[in-house]
Amino acid sequence: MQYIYCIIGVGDDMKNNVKITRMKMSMTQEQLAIKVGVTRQTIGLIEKGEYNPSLQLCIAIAKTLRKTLDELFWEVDEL
Amino acid sequence: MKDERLVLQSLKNIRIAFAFQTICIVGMLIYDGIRKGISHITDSPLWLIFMATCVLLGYLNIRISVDVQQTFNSKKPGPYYKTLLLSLAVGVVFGGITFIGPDGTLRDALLIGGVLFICFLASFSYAYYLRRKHYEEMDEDESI
Repeated sequence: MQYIYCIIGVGDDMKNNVKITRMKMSMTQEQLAIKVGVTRQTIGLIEKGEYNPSLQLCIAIAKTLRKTLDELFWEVDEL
Repeated sequence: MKDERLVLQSLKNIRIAFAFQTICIVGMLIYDGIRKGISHITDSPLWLIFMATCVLLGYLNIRISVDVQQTFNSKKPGPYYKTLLLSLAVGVVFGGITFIGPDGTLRDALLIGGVLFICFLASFSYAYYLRRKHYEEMDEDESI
């Protein structure tokens, strides 16, 4: 169930922790993009929540950043 | 191109180009029809392309229709002979209408009935094949 949100999306401006995690690992958008096989612009749009990646790409990003899908993409409701 | 976002963008661009092309073809056919007469529309090679594209799109969309239908109704597909009989009925009805109608000859009736029978049988058979295949692919616990 935890993976379904990757396919169906969770809204137009999906919040995620990709940017924070990438910066903690001292990795640039370009480096991450090359490792997962997409363009830098795609990584930028994913970080801004303006592009909803496929499950395959979510997994590739999670593996590269050594995090689980939950840690990177799961939305936490703010009270 | 490996980037999925760009692949999707490329497909969206193709869709826009396809829509533009279709509008142009329809426009040219209508222009031809107004200038030379309605009968000239079907004589144009553009008409053939337009119809062939419509048929191709229709066949490709059968897969989508079957998926949507099976999501809400996942019953086992019935026997194939029903498809055959339905196609035959369509052919017979339209052949009969042609024969009864003005200037209707047996040759025309057989031709129209036969063509419709083949067209319906082909599309129904493809839909039947997809339904059967998708049903067999379903998990055993889902197909009860």
